[in-house]
Amino acid sequence: MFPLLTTLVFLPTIGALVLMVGPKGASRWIAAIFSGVTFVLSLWLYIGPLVGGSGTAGFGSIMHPAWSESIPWVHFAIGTLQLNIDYHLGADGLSIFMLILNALLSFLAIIGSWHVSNRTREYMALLLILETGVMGVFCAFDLYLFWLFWEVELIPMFLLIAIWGGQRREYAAWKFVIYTIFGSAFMLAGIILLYFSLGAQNGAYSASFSYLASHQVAGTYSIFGISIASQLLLFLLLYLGFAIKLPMIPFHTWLPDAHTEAPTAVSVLLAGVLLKMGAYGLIRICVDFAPQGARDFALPLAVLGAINIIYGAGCSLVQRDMKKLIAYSSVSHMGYVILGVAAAIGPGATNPAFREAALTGAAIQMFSHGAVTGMLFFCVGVLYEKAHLREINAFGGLMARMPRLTWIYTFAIMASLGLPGLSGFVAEYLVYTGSFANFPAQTIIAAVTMILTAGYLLWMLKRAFYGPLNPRWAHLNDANLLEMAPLVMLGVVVLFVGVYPGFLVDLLRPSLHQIIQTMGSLPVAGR
Amino acid sequence: MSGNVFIDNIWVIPALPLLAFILNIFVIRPLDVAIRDRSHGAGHAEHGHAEQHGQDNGHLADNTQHTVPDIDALVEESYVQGIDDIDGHIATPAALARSIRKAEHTSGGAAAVTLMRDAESHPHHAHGEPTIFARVNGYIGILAMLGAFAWSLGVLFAMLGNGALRNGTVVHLYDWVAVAGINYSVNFYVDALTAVMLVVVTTVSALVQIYSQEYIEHEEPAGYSRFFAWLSLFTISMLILVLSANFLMIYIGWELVGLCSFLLIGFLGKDAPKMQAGRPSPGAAAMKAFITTRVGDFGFLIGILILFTVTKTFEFTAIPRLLTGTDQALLTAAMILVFCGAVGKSAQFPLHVWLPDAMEGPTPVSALIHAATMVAAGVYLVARTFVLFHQFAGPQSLEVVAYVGGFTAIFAASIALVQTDIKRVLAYSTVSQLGYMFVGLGVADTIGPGTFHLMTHAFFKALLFLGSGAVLHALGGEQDMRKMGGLASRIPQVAIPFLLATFSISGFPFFAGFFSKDEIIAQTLQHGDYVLYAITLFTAFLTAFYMFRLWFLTFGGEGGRFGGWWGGQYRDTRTISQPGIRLWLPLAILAVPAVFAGFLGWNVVSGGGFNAFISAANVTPAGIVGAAFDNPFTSGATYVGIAAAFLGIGLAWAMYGARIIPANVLTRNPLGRGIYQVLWNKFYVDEVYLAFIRFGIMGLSRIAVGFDRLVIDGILNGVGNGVVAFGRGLRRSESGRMQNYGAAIFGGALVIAAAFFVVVYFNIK
Repeated sequence: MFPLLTTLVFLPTIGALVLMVGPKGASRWIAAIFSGVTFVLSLWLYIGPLVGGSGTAGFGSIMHPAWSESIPWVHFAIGTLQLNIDYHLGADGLSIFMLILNALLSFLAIIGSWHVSNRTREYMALLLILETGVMGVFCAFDLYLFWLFWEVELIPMFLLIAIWGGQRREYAAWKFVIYTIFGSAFMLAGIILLYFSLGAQNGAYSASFSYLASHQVAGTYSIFGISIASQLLLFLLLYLGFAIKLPMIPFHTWLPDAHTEAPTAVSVLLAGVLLKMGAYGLIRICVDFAPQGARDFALPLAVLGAINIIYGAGCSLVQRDMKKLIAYSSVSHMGYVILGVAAAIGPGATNPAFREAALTGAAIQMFSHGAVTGMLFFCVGVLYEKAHLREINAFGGLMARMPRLTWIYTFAIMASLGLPGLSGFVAEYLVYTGSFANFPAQTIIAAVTMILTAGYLLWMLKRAFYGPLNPRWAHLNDANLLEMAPLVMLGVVVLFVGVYPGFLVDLLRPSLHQIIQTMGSLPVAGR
Repeated sequence: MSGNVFIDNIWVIPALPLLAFILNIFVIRPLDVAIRDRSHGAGHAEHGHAEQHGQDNGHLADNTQHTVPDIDALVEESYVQGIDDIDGHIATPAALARSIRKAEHTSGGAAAVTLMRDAESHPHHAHGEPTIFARVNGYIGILAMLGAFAWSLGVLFAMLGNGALRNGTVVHLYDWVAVAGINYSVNFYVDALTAVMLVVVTTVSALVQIYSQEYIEHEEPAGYSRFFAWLSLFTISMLILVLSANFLMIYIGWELVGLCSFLLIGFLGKDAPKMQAGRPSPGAAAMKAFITTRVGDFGFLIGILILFTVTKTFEFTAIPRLLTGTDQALLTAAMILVFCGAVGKSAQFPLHVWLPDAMEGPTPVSALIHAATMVAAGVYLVARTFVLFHQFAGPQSLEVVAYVGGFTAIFAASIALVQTDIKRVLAYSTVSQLGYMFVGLGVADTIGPGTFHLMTHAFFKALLFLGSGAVLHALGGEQDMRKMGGLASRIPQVAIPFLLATFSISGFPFFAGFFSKDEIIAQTLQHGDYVLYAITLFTAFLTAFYMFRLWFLTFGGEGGRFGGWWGGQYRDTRTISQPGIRLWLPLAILAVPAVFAGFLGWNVVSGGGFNAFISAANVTPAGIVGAAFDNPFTSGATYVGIAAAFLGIGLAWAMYGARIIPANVLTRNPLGRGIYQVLWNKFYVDEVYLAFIRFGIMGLSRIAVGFDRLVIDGILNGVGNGVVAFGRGLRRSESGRMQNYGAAIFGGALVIAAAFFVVVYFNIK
């Protein structure tokens, strides 16, 4: 069988190598072609299982992914301790959906970076390597491999911010790296602990996802004499890394800095797929491998999610810089993912349908936020390229000069504030309806936030685009076709998901259903 | 499936404007823009008056407005003088013009410039004519609306012919999301209530589109296509709202009409605020409308969530079956929360503040969205879920509905008494009349009276707004009634339908508004609620007064015929341009239902009447189906209502028509003057909200950001610096701060993690 996943992961890297040896003038085209081909190939992940005949059930779950490739890699033993690491890639519905999003956004990011003229070749190469790292994260089916890709993604991201960023780029890049490494150190501790605990408990050492998902750690650990449920500790260790990536308050302050300093395309990828790695890890790793721990932590998680939502919105309200405003809005919107997951794993004898609705909403929010925030960053990028400024109050009346940008920006803002018919509404509505049964107070806080969300986004729109034209900007030209292309493509996706979310739900259902079943099999209200 | 072709294919009705919308924005509008670009130079698409620049520096301040915001006291004084001029009868055109000009010159700042520019340039957004493609977009929109109207009539007549159809048919389109036994379905529902709403929405939409051709061609020719696109989008959204079979769909329609309202209020988004007239910029007004209604939507959403969590369904027809045995207090709370949505959308107190500002949209928009259809959506929502209010929730829920409506009715009417902007008077009048509808729903045991007033109001208020638009058109955009007067003899083709509608809203016997309003007042009495009876009766008097004040100030006045009723002195010098047929014909057409629709409700004439028809809708509580109302003229209370209307009309005539009573009779003493100030400033509600936003919400937000920067980043940077200092002290390394910082933290974290692992792992053994 053709190793589609391996191809998807490494094709961008090959592209980066070709770039380095290829003609300098063609680097944009080489990057666009490699990422474009990767995107087209990634669509087969979705179409393949459908034409394979088993219908939407064919996307499979973590136990039986639709796509799987495995090669033994590192195997050795010291005494009773065995280390078994496989090169194991897999993709079920949840992975497929993020892989396609990553391929799409990487492609659009390259299109949207056409104007970059400073060290274009290196820039494009790093974007492609970043794509490889993120692809790997979303389809690694071995926990060590997952961690490896998780770290690989850091390097190009660091360089992209530190070299092509704004004025405070070094500070932002370091902050990003330190935050992430701090989290991944704990994550690594969690991974090692999980691996050896399960191995010791069952006599079989494996870091394969299907093994980890089907065997659960029991008992308690004792740290300095304090006893703690093993699963809860594992959950917390693993989650710390993901919480920083999500980002969850109070580990979010790297995000506004990184977003503000990063070049447009990097902001798009950062918001579009890198934050999703945290959400993906939360669902795929934390919940699947430590379900009881997840349930024990569900209430704090829901509270933190609700705080994320309202706190991020509040911070957005007083931002003066467009990018920073959108960065904080990301904090707020990612809170819906946290709340949705918390509701899905929460305690209480809730109807499983509510759990599944909440988890589906969280997953769609991952996709929707990626596309919508991508659009917003592209819009700001277009404006910044022309005006070299992002200060909201410095604009005014741009509608008169840039009608095209005005309407696509309005579209993106409407999608972001959850207008029905666009993808954000589907996600938020599913989260609201699914989580109210489990966490009514947190859901109400999330719902209040929709007022603030409308407030900060429309206020920004009004200040920058409405009113009489500030004569300072009388020279600006409207967005051209190249600048509009990524915006329109994302807009079509956002609209399509908003009107007919069924196809995403079908893709996700088997994966998420598996989780809901696991949660249903746990003893209810043990604590 | 009902077996009726119109009902089973009900999707045709929203599909027609959808088709027009898609054709407009994806096919024809690009052509329109292309040829406009060629004639104006590239990049100048929809280039309005870009030469303007004002002081709209983006503070929330222009979101809400003061008497005369940001202008010094001197101007305020002279402005108040202007008010006296109108509410006394000292005003001569020259004196008035002088006082206003004085205000402009003394204020000195940007505001005066703005006003002068307003006065000089207002309708001259005009840059030539709409292109041929833009006009085609208009025709397509109108054709689609006429088609939808015909289809709606088909539905209505099917129901008139076959009573069983009135109970309702569910038309399933597709599943939005289906997870584990819960369906989020796209379903339409057609019953008698839907049929009435469909006819109202499509009639008014079609007429407004016809009217808009001429109006927008003068107001903003460059935006001609865009305007029709958004009108079509609005109609689609509104049709989705009235056709919805479940809470999911109604919420979708609900938010989408909000979007269209936002887009259309901000249609002239390049304009600056008109500070002197106390008017915000269109952009600020649009934002305010969206956000204020969202406050109500929040409650609505929570209400839906409660019902959904209890019943696991969104379907209107299924919810009542599944609610039996649920805690009544919970349901009362849920329905009051649902009503919050209605409060926002229908601009009821305390969320009424957006509607007057929404008048910054073009007048056809005010007629369609902010008078006839969208603002009535709240009434429709309560009617649609009436059985839940009436049967399942406690009686408090409908009491809340009735009292919020009653209070808003009198509150808004009192503000309308003193406003001088013609559109704002009508806006407050709309708020007040919507209040009546909620009283009607709250006190009657059926949806009949409330929805009947919804229907008649849609016709006469749309007429009034379109008529005021024709006045604006005639006067080159002037909205200040102090600069009008005597227009009846100058534009009679506008004045005649306008007068008929004024009689209708004032409750003059045998006009449509008389029947529908009288029914509501009679219901309060029958319900035994004397407080609401007094409120609604007194509001009827106020309504008649302020509407005829508007009539006399605009169309009649000193020197007019029949004692000031018709024509008279015109208080400005601007030339009056005559409206074309596309402007006045819709007025004439609307005048028919505005005058005669009332007879539909009178069972003496129409056999059971409107009430019997609409009560067959599935939302009516069991046992009350088909209650008919009596001949109003057999009850003594009706004559009291007529007397109130006559009193109001007579007083307005005495003060503003014949000038028998001086108009400043009340403002001569300090108390009267104080009351006048409070009313003029709309009870200072905007100011209170602004303070809350500034000091409450924005204050908390600033604290949050400060927490981020000082506490979280403070700890982070502190730890980083501490580690670096430690390393420096230890190794005297000068190899660059950043690297140390990173390496130290990374290394530190790894050490912590490793130590953690060792401790934990070897403890389990």
